[in-house]
Amino acid sequence: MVRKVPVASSRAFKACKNCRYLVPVHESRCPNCGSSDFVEEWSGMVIILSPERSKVAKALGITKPGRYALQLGPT
Amino acid sequence: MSSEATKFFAIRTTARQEVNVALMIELVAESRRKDVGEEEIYSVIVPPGIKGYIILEAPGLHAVYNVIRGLKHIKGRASGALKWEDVERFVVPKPVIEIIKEGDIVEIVAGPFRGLQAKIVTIDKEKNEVVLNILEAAYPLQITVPADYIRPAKRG
Repeated sequence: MVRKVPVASSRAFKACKNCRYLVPVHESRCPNCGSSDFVEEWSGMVIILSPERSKVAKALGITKPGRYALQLGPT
Repeated sequence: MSSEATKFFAIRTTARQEVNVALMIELVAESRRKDVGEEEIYSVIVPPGIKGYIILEAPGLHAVYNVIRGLKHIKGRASGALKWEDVERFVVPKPVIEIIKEGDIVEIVAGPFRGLQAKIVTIDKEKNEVVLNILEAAYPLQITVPADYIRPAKRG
């Protein structure tokens, strides 16, 4: 059986310039760092589910779970 | 469990559905964490510039199968686990100035000369600047731009 999970597409997010946290486009403030500086164009994504155990989170210096962009700006 | 126990597995997806699959895996992993009481997936990586693949960070293959089972747009799993060095390339990319060398052809991606091709004359790593010779100019034209303004042109 195919599981159907409703999800938003990548265009539904913008990336915080300060911490790269991905937030829905309608948000005006980054819930992670409080910045209001965003970029619409980003590429690559990392979803951190367990910052304590993830090697990726440690390499990127991420301490809070969530979705982050890997590269900012046009590709 | 320490971070040394984590492994990386590549999952094949339908092209252009990588982000959607990653978001679906996030939801499934979150709901499984509530059921099982333990984190099975540590992170989900959508590498930039690579179509049809995502990478899961997990303690083992069983955890990967648990979350991808029955999900839409998943085409299978690439055999074996990835090494951290391979994953690191996508996650912590080297700055452009470390990759380029004098004489390389680059493309200018920002500023007034955006879109033009140029040859690197000198590299100033301390200032993070490069001096370029614009190839498409009618006369010799040298400009100094930040290294962030350029990207290596495709070789071929």
